[in-house]
Amino acid sequence: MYVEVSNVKKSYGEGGSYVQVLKGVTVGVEQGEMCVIQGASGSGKSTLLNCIGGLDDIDSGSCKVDGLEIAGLKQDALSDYRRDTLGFIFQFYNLVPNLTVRENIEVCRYLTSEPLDMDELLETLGLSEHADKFPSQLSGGQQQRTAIARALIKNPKLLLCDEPTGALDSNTSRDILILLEKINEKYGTTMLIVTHNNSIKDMVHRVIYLKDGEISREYTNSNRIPARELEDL
Amino acid sequence: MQKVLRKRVFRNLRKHFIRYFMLGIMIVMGIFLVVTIVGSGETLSRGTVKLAEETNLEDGEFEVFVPLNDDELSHISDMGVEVEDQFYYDYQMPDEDKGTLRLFKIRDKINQLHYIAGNEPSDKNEIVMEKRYAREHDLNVGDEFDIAGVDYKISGIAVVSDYDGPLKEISDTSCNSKYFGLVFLTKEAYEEFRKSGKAQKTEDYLYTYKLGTTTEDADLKNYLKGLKIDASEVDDELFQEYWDRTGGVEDELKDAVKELRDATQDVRDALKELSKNNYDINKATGKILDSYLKQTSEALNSYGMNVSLTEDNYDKELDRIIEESDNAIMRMSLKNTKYEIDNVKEYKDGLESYTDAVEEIYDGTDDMADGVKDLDMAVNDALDGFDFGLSDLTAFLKRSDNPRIFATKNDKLVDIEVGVIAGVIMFILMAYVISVFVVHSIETESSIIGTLYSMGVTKNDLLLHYISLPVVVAFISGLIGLLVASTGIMAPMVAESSYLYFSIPEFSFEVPKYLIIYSVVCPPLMAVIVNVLVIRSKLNRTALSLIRNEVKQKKNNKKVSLKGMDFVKAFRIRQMFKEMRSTLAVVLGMFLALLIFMIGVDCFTLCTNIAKDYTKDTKFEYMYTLKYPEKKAPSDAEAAYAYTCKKSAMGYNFDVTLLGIDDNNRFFDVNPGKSRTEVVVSSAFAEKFGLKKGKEFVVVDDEKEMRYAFIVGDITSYSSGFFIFMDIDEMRDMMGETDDYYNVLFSDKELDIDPGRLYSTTSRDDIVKGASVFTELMMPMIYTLSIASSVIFCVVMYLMMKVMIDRSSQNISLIKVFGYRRNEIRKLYLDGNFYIIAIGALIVIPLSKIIMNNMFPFMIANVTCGMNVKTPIYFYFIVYGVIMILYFVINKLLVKRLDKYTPAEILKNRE
Repeated sequence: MYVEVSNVKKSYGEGGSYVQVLKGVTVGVEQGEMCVIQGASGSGKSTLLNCIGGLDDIDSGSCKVDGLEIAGLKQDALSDYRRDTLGFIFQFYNLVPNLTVRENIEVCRYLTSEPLDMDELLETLGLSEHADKFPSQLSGGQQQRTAIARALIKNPKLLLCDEPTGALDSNTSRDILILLEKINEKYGTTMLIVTHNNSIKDMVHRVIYLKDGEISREYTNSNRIPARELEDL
Repeated sequence: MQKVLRKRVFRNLRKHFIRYFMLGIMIVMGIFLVVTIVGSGETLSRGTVKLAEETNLEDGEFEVFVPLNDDELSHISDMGVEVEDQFYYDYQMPDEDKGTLRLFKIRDKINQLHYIAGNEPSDKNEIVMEKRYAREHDLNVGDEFDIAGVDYKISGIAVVSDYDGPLKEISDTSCNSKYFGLVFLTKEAYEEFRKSGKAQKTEDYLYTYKLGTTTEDADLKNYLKGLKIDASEVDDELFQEYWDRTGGVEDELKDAVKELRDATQDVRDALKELSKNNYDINKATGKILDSYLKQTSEALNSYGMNVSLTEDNYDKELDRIIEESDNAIMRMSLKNTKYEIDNVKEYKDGLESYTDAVEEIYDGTDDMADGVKDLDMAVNDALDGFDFGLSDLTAFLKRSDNPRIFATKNDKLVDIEVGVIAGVIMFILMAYVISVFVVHSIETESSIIGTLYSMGVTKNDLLLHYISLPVVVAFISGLIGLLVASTGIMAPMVAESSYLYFSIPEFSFEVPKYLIIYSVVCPPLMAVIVNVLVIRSKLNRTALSLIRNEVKQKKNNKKVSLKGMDFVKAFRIRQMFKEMRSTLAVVLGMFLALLIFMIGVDCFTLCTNIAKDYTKDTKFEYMYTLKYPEKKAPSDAEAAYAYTCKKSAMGYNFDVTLLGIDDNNRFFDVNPGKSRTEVVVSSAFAEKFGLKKGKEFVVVDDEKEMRYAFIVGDITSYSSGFFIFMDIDEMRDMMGETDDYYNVLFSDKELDIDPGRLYSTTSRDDIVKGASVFTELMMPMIYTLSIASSVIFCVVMYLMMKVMIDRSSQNISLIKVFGYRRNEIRKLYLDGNFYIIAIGALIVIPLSKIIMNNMFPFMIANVTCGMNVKTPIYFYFIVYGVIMILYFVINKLLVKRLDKYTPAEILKNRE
């Protein structure tokens, strides 16, 4: 397993405000798989993603990525882990507003000695003509594509996507998903996608359902539908 | 609503504790600075005023040649003026330092003694020493002290308000209590000293006065000027010698004219008498000649010669007869006769010439008598025009013109002005920092505010909520600053130099009411005003706009193309543009903090420049101001003519010296020219009164009630006083003095001048030491200003840079998510500030100095000195270096803060 989560527990608060968000989650994702984590609000899906991304620590259990135990890593080691292994895509893009598209992507290219080719990536993502524009001059889809390009430039082994289409309209969402699919195929990038969108599950290899902090169901999608054919996005 | 929101206030305080703590520190330091400096100044200033009231300080004083008699004293009393004689002797100590003691009787009514230790003498063997002299010589109550061979016991150490600044002469530039002090003796002891004849100079007849309600200084002065004395009454040989040469000319002139008139009359009478007999004398002499001629004619006729001799023909006729005669005896006899007649005729002619001359002289004596009469009248008229009568008054000094009185208060005016201006700048700085906080808070909480707005919370509710914390912090900090300063923890240090220089008692540190109001009212008031203005403008946006936290895009940000630039450089530049407001906040904060710092710098620079310039510009070793100059100036000295006038600037009246010098005076690098209007002025004078070459100015002569207008012909580099240089002959002429008049001598060596001739002696060492006194007096304030402004500077820099980073917290969290390490984040977000600080400091250091240089003259408006606040170039490099070091220290502290921004921040704020 490329991502191995074993009996992970995570809680917030104390006393009366104590909430156990993850109640011993165990899940695994193979390298090169696209995996969707679904569940209702408060089910713990974003917390699980953050724990895997080293953004949040866990109370107990084990969380390994490519054999590296994330739990208990110090800040510097976590930084190294994130810069060497991970790419992040957020619902609200989180682009640096005062940097151009190219400069936003360079934020992550700077972190690796073997980045992907910038121009090729811009071309692939359809951003070549917008490379010198600022985020405020782009549409939502273009901004999210920039965020994806930023995440991909360092050619991460694991791409964590938190509601990547949450802020986009249906057509733009489809474009983004096609792009993710293309990247997965081209670079073999392992992807964990947290989403409310029920249709996305049809294009990925594995689907995990979380309910009240526990895995309620998980399955391998043997009948994947290409992203361009997805409906009700 | 407020109840709920109030809970947030405490949480906000906890959350932003460092921010508010630092703001509090800044206010505490600022208030502490102002209260300490101004409070200390006010304590000394008010203390000396109160002391003056308690000890019945004089309204003025005057000196006379001859003590006033009972009638004169009675007249002055009738004018409603209270007068007390405070005669004194100067006694030069025989020790190697040759210090001078001024011996007074214990005062009864005016300028009473305020005892620091001990009490008044119980008998004639006890004396009271002035505080500063006693301290300098380690004299205490109970010690024995020898004056003129008499051992006295010190019964008390005291101060007097008329010697607050214990200057030996009022023209002295600085006090030197090691060499000058006051001693107060009992009346009996004073009389014994008088009789002992041990004083080097004659007794000075000084009177002090207190004016009544209706009398003014000028009334008393006019009365005193009118008191004439006979010069012979003055018991001073040197005066007599001087008076005989100068003031006594009236009688001499009158006597000479009278003698001339009398002599002319005598001559006239004699000639008249002589003229009366002229006719008879001439007639008698004519008869003698006629008789001779007749007798000779008759004798010749008896010999048969028909001859009639006359005065006109006797010469030829007798020569012819002698020639024709054969008789030798006859010829000899005729020759003898002719010789006798010649003699008689010669006598007669001479007598006629004489009588003609007598007649002419007599006629001339009429004209001469008329001329002498005219001369007599002219001399009388001239003498009537000039007051040759000797006025008893030798010096008159109003309280306000006396540099010894309220010397401490005048000195402390600078501290107070500086403190107040530092306080104003501090409040601007404080208001600015608060406004930056408020803007940052509102921008950070924009969505919360928008949400509350949308739910119906009013602008006033939010206003009240957002101003409460800064107002409370400002109030508490102001109060703490006031309380800490009120303990007087630093006040002794600030006041120490004054106690070591002025002759004043030690006052307990008191904070005046206006400073209490300033400390506890102004900070919260300023916070309220700033917050209301800033928050109101920020809350004018719509609820939706606030929820979305819409920020106007900066157009120039988009225009800058950094294509191809190294990523880190490009990122920093973008960051700088993004945080332009924060950037300016840092630079502006730096500027305001530097402005306070520059007050201290200007104080220090002025003082050190004065010390340096005085040393450089003073080329003479001794300057003697003469009371009774000798007729001829010593050959090894440069004679000059000094005359004091007044000129006012910024509400203060300053003494200005008109100095008449020769154009080859070796002690002044000045060519005064030969003009009475176009003069050369000292650089200190030009700086103080803002004069440039070609500019006109006027000085006032209070003594003669005249005004003199001049044009600045040139400005000479001379810092040791306000001088107007002009040609000595022109000045003598202008002031109506004789061609050889002088009253000042400059020399490069000590001259042997009778002390009785001198008003004062000023050595180069005195001037140099006097200059360094400025530094000593101001150093505590400079230290306080420098330390406090440095702390404020660090706090402001820290706060501003922290705000700058806080504003980027989202982005820092974001790049942490990507795997950026602390050093890399620092490189992107903090190191970029280096350029801001580096460039900002380059601009604001000289800018703040220039602005303070222009403000500074108003702060030291009462100080008699130039305005040379030029700072050496290395100073700017040092300040720049220190700022950069401070920046690196603060940067180091802020790097740790980067750890507080967790990657999860970016996820928390996604909705």
